[in-house]
Amino acid sequence: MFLQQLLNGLLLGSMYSLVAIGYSLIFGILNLLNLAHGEVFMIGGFVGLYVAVNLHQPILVSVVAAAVGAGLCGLVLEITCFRYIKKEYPMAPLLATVGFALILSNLASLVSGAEPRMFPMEIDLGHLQVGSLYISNLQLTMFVFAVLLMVVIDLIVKKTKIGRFMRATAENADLSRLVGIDIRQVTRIILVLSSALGGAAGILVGMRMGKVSPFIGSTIGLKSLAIMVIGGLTDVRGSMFTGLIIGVIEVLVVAYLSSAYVDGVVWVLLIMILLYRPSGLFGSPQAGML
Amino acid sequence: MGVLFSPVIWAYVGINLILTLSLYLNFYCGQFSLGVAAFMGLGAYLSAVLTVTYGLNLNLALLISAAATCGVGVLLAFPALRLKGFYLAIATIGLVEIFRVMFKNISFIGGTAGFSGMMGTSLPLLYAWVILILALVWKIENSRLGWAMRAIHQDETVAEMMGLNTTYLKVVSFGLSAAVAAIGGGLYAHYMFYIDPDAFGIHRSLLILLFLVFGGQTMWGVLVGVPILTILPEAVPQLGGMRMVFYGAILILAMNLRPQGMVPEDFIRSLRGKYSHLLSARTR
Repeated sequence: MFLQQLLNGLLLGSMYSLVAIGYSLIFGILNLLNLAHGEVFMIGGFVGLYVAVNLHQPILVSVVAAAVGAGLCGLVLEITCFRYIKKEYPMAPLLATVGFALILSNLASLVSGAEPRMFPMEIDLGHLQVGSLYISNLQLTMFVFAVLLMVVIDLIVKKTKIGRFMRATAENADLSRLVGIDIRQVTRIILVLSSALGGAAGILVGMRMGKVSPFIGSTIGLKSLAIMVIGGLTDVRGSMFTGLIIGVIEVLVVAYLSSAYVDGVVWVLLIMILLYRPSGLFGSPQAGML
Repeated sequence: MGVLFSPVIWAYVGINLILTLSLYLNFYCGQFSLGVAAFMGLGAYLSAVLTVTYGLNLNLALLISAAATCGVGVLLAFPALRLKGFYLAIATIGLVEIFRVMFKNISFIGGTAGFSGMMGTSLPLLYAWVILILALVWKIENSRLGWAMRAIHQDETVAEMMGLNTTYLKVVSFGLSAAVAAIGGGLYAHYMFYIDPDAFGIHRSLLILLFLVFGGQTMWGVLVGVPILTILPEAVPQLGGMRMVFYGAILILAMNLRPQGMVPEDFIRSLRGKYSHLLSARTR
């Protein structure tokens, strides 16, 4: 029973990780908060749902479509909320993303109605049983996708040229510009990449929960924001592990304590972390934090 | 333009003015806190319980709940003070979420179903409170306390070097902001007749932050920004469901065109410079 809960927690956590990585890419590297990330995630869910249900495509195609759709959203986001706003006013892009989030969630509810859209049961793929453990194939597929995406992101950040640019920008944006890195290009790529990742997470979570609703974005978005901070902000791997940990903790709280307080757990943890270990579980201390 | 004559809209304007001034008191001292929704909720529930369950007079209930919320704000200020910038913002988002989950789980105040039965506000009463709080903010701005807070806003390290007790000042700003938010929440609860925990989510804080930044993070900016942003979405009824989309677009446009806000500090200062000869002529 406990092992089953642990497994469910890991599966839930992998979804949080995917969204949280998007935040830590944006905040860690650009020092910007993108409050529309949750809504981009929701758009990914809807695009994926449309492709899977109305166009009868397999899961792989719909995940790719969700990522592309959300990536496009990220591009529009970059143009409208970041590109033309002067850097001296850090609050302005933050609030522009709030405006963007309003537009996305309300457009989605206009197009699809305010009620959640259900994923059809055809996606049910049967299940796998190992001893007394019970995993549905759908969940397993989601988990594999999530891990795969995380590995890809990790490789991009750690091994490629653009990843090196990203890490340089995170270290010191002014110096990076001085040595010839195109910060705007980096900003654009990060926003598109993190949005695409969020979009893929959107359809995966949607399939797991069996539904997508226009206002799902804010709940998961905020929770992932907390996960990013707990994990140590700049550290992409920190967000991955913390997402898994939070997933497990939440499932255990529901199973052994009470489901009423589950949405508060992550925030209590967040405040504890901020007070006693502000660099996060996995991060290293940074200047300007305290 | 019929919307300009609707009392409900003006009630919203009044309540939003109070809440935005609460956030302004935090920003004035350089604290990027988003806890205003939590304190608003606390004030709303406290004053509602006081008037409905204990049959207290509304103004008395507001004062008591403001004092209690101020106490909570001061208590929470001590841990919060260790955090700066975005970290404080994210921690206070957590505070709002924790309060919301708490409100949902206390059956005495209705839990998820909400709490109702409040009455007794009127527009004049509401605006009396608005004017009172505006006077308070204006008084603080033009006092030694206000200048000291301003110094922290400019540069905390320098303020501390000059011998200012920054901890004390920040705690004061937190407490004052919490008290003002509680009054806003109490008036909101009694004007709406009904409150539920989801009314005090992080969206409320973000909306208020929006008013403040749109205005330009000054008192005059609050007075300009809040009415515009509160009335605007109601002003074009033909939009129907597109209303919030339109609102979002306006926001993005405003932030692109005027990221410093409508009435920023520089603007006020330059106006003062331009017309100072008039002022001095009058005093002479």
